[in-house]
Amino acid sequence: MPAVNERLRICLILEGSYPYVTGGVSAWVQDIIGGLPHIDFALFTISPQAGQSLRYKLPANVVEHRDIVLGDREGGRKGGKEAEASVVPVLEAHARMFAKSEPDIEAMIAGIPEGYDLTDEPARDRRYWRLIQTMNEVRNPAYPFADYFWAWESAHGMLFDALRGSPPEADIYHAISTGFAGLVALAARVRRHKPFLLTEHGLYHKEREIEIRKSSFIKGYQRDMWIKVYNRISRICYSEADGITALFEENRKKQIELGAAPERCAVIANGIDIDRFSSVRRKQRPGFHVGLVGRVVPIKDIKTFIAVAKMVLEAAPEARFYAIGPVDEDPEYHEECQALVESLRIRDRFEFTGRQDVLEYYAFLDLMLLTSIREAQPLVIMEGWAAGVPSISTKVGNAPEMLDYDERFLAPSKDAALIAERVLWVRAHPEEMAEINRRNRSKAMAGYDKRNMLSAFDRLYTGLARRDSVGVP
Amino acid sequence: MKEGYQELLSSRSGFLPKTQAQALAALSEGLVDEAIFVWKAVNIHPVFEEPWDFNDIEVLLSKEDLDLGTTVLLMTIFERLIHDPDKEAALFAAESINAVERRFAKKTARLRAKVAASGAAEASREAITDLAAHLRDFGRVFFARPELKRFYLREALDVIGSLEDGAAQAETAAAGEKSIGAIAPLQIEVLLELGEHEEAAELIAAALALDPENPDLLFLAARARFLRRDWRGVATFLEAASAAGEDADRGCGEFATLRDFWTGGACRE
Repeated sequence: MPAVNERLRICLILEGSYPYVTGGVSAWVQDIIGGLPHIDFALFTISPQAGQSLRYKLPANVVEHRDIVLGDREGGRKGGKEAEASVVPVLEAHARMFAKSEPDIEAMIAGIPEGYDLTDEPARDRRYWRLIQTMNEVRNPAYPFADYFWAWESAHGMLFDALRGSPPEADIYHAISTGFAGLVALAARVRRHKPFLLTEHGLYHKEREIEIRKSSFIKGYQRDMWIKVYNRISRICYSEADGITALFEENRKKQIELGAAPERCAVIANGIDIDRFSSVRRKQRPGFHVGLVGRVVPIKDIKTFIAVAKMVLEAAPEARFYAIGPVDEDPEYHEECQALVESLRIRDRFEFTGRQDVLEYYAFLDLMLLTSIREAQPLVIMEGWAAGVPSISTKVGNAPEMLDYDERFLAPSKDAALIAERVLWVRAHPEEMAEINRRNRSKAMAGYDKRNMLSAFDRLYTGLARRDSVGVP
Repeated sequence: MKEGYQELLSSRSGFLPKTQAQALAALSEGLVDEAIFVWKAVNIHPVFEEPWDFNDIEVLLSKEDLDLGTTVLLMTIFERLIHDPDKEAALFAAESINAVERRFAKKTARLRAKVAASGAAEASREAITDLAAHLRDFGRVFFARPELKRFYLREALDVIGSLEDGAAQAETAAAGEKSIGAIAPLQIEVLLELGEHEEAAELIAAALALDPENPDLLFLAARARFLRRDWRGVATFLEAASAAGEDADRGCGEFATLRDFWTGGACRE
C-alpha cells in the first residue's frame, strides 16, 4: 500500500502491443492510463525487436517505460553461486511435472534471482543437461537429441528472458495477457511480494496455439512443445494471479476451467466514450451505406466484406460500401483487396477510406459489418450503437452475446452469401430497425460506458494495493 | 506380440507415436512394441470423415507443398467446419482457410516476381504459364466462394493475355513445333472453369485445327461437351482422346480409363 499522499503506481506489462502496435488492446491501455490520471503508470514492454517507434503519445502519468527484447541475451548475469541456487528448485519443479503433479512454481521462481540468465545453464551444469536428455527420452525418443535440444532451447530461452526481466518498481503488477507478460508479473509477485493482476482480452494461449499451428517453421513435435509451453504458462498465471479480469463471461469461464479460482475472477467489459459517440448528429444520405471499421488485414477478412458488397449490389445497386481503417499494416493484402474490388467491377461503389475520423461515417452509415474471423469484444459494435448505427457480425468472440444471439444480425465467418442476406433484410425493414437502434443505444449506454470500466479498474487497483498480503480484494 | 489395450497405453519408453510414420520409426528404433505399431497403423480414420480429426487435418495442412487435390479436400472440410456451432472449431476452419489463402497469395507473389525477372521470350512464356496455372489452381481452391473463384480465374486469364495474345502465341508455337504448347489448354481450362463455354469452344476448335490429334485438347473438348450436357459429344471426344493417347497409355491409361468409365469397358475391371 502506498504511503499517505503517495500516488498509486501500477506497472503495466505488455507483450507485442501498446505503445508500438495499434489495435483493440492498445486502445484499451491508452484509455485506462488516460482515464485514471490520479494513478501513475510504469510500462514494461516485451518486444520482438529493439527500436520500434511509438504509435501512441504516452499520457503524462506514464512515469517510466522499460522495454526488453525476447532473445536478446546481453546483460544477464550468468554462472556463479546464483546458478547453484537456481538448479534445485528448477529440477524439483520438473520432477513434479514428470510425476504429473503440480510443480511449486513460486519456489522455482524464487530460486532464480532477478536479472539472472538461465539460458546457458544446461551447457554448464550436468544436472540440467541430464534433465533435457530425460525429457527427450520420455517425450520424443524418436528424434535425435541435437534436434530436441535446439527446439527445447528456443522454446525455453524466451521463458528465461521473461523470468530474468526487471520491471519498474510498482504497487501492483498488471499483465495484459498471460504468456511472457504474465510470467514477468508472476516473477515480480514472488520476488517483490506485490499483487499480480491479470487482464485478458482474448485468450493468449489460444491465440498463440493458432499461430503455431499455422506456422510453416514450427513443425511436428516442436509444434506440440511450443503449444504445451504456452498452455502451461497460462495455467500457471491463472492459478497464481491475485486478480483476473476478462471482457466477457465466456472467457471468464474458460479461465476458470484452466485453473483460475472463481472468486478471483471478474468480468469488466470494454467501454466506449458514450458522450462522444452519442453526440453524432445523424444525417442520412440517399442510398444504403454500409461500413466496416477496422484495419485492412486478413483477420478482419475484408475479402468477405468485398464479396458481400458484390452480392448486395446485385439486389440493391444504390448501396455503397466503405472499408474504414488503416491500409498500411499489410500492404500486400490491401493490394489483393483492391484488385478484387476492381475485378468484381464495383470500384464506383466500394471505397477504401484509409484512417478516418469514424464519427463522420457514423453520421450517415445505415449499417456496420464485422466480417472478422477473430475478435474479443469489438468496440466498433458499441460505438455504432451509441451513434445509432446497427451491426451485423460474424459469430466471433463476444459478438453473439452482444447481439443477443439474434440470428438476423449474425452469420458464420466467411459466409458471404448469408451475410449479404442479413444486410438485405436490414435494408428491407427500416421501421423495425429504428426500434432496434433505439434499444441498442440504451444497451450501449447501460453496459458499455467507459466510465464504468475505468471506475471498476480504479476500485480493483485500490483494493489490491490495500491488502497486506496478496489475494483478491 | 503382446496384446490388450493396456499394452497400448504404456509403451516401454513412455513414448506414444501420433502418426503412422512416427510409429514405424519408433518400432524400428525399438522404442515401442509391435502392438503399438499395429494399433497406430491400422486405426486409420479417413481425414474427410466426421468426426473430424483435427490433429490429422493439421498434419496435412502444415505441409507447404500440398497437391491441389488434397488442398481442395481440406477446403471442403473447412467449408463445413465454419458452420460448426462450436466456436473454436469454426475459428479453426476460418483461420485455416486464411492460411491456405495466404500460402497461395505468397506463391503468387513469388511467381509474379519470376515473371518480372524473366528476360528471354521462352523463359518468360514458361514463367507466365506457371503463374497462370497457379492462379487457375487458386480459383479452384475457392470453389465454394464464387466471387473469389472468379477473381483468381480472371487473374489467370489476364496473365495469359499478357503474352500479347495467348491464342496467337499458341498458333506460333504450333507452326514451329507442331504442338500447341501449354498455354492454350490452360486458357481453355480457365474459360471452362469460368463457365465461358462459347469462348472455350472457339478456342478448342482453333487449337484442334492446328493439332487435331492432341489427346489433351481432345479431352478438354470432351469436358467442354460434358459441361454443356452433350453426352454423345463426350463419348466421341473421349474415344478420340483415348485413341490419340493410346501409345502413351498402352490402352489403359487416363483417357482410356475415362472412356471406359463412360462405356463400361475393359479398363474398369
